[in-house]
Amino acid sequence: MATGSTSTNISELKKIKLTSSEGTEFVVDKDVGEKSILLKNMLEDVGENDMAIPLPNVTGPILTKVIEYCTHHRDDFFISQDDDNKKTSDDIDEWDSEFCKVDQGTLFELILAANYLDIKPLLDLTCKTVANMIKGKSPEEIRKTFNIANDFTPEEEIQVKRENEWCEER
Amino acid sequence: MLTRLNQDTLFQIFTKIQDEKSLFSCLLVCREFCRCVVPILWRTPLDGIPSARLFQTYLSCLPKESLHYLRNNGISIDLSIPQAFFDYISFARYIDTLNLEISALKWCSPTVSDGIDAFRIWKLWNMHSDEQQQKALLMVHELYKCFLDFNRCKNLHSLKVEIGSTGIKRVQEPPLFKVNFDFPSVNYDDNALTHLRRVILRGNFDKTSVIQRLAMESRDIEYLALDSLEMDVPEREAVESIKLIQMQINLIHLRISHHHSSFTSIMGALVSQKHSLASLELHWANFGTFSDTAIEGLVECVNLKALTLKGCHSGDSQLSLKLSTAFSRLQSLHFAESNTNLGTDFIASCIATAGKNLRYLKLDKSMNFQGTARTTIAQKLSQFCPNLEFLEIAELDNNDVASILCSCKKLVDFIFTRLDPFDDRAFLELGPKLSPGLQYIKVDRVLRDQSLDYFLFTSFLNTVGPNFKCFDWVHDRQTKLYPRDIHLMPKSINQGMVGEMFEKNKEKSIDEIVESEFFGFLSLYPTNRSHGMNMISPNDFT
Repeated sequence: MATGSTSTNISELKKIKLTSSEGTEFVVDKDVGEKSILLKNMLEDVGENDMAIPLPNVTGPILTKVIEYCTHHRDDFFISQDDDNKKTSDDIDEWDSEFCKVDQGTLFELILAANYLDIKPLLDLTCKTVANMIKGKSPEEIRKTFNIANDFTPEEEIQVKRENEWCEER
Repeated sequence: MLTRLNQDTLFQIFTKIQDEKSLFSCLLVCREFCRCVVPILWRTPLDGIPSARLFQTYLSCLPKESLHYLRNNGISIDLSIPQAFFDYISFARYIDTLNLEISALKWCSPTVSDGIDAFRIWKLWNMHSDEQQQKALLMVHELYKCFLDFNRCKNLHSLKVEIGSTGIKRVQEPPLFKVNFDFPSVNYDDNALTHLRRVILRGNFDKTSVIQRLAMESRDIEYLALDSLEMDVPEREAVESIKLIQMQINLIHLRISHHHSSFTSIMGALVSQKHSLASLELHWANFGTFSDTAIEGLVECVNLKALTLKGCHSGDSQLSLKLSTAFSRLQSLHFAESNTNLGTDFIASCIATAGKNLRYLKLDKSMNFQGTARTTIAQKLSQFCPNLEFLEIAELDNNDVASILCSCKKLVDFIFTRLDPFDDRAFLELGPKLSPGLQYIKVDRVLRDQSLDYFLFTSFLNTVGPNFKCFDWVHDRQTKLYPRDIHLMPKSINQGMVGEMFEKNKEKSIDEIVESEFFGFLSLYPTNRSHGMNMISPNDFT
């Protein structure tokens, strides 16, 4: 029992270093860092090493948020949700919902970081949050919400609308 | 700003939106959104209400020569309509032949009202002249050629061939499977059926030719349903069905219905799938006719984890006992409707045999057990099934409920119908004895004449575990003055609207509160969704 407990403590104390795009260094617990499949695979490939892992696609503030998320969920067992049927946007718990109350720019940066670092639950959460911002809105409202320009020609728009309007019968 | 995201992440976002109206809005936002949304929207459009508009779009994907061919056969297609903006056919993952045919008929007669209930389908076919039906099927056939072109429709993996789910003997068969319109006679790519993973063949028609073709080409079917609506099937079809099963490399789920005389040989063929078969559904099987080979076939399926029986007959008791040994590894057991000829001994024996492995048990409401039979089932559950996580069962009394709840300590979802006389107060006082992982209780057929106060409910909700999410307290349908579902959620009892309502009405009984206050809340707390609760399902075990 004692040996097992000691080895767990040692494992918990292990740290890894990450460097954000601006060169800022972050030291995080290894188990937190390994919530990222990208980092987990890199650490397995490189082995025990004191070198900082460069993350040129992630800024410091975004990396801080990512670490906050992984630390909060460090004890969660991340279940893969590959089944399309399970991909709904209804089930976001309270902490996660608060975590996503950020400006749009940060939210999109988080999506890109989660995708790059391969943190599936964070990617799911942030995508669900954006999906909830879209649901029930008209095309014009979506454009306004996300500041998107309509680049269809009038003819294209009419054709696409006509070809897909069966959706409105559902 | 959202367009800063790459296609991959945009796609991830759109897959989280499941309602087609919102996706429709998305595709009209800009070209990039459109490119991401269309492949999602057009994966399974035939898995919904048949639509003339949908059919029109599919028609606009046909090659020019097909359009000319249809026009030359008297179908009024406007050849000046531009080619479709996308090749919508190429995104299909699922074909439902019946849905496509009804969509075609609707296209021919736009005035036909919506709806897909069985009787309307039958009427829809018969209200059209032979000539109109032939025209509809000519169009459908041109589309099949595209759907079954492997180079064009690479993602197609599910096929549902269905004719007439009415149970009504047709005055006139839709001619798709008549000689001139035989499904395999469509001149499609040789690879078209090789990558199918999910196949459902359903209806009162001779499926031999389709099954034969599948048996020749398909090896990767994981889900196979062979549903006939007649009481028996032609011998040739049964023989081909066996071949089809034997040819699969990794069959996981099999559903067989109405193959009376051939059930036993089909069960014998299961040996070929003994390592892969995880889920089996048998409809209208008579176990009394099962041969030793059939039972051995079942026993050898070492990975069989889920079994659903519907309208089955258990035969003599010795055979039942022999058969139940095949079910010792079951984790999920569902006795669906019309199993009145399944004896209590057989059911009790299946439950006891599965024992510690059993995690899901559903006995449909139609299976009302009386007196000792009910007690026998409850006792078997208490005695043999400590790992049960989901239980749905008809009519339990206070003693049955108490013994199940005290023995099945891993229950997560528990649904039962009260057997009167039932003491609600005694039931609610069981709170501390409930499984700590319990998330859902549904008590059906609650009578109005019992006065339960708010404090009893709150005390119950305070004693259940932290995972508890929903309590459905469903009133007797006979009295139906109230909404069917009342949700009392521990998290919101002190702060949410339900809680406030109770706070304001402490002096009233539950019945009075339900009557005066709850009606308007039904939409605020839709069943099983408000807290993202996922009920356990038999699919979890396969």
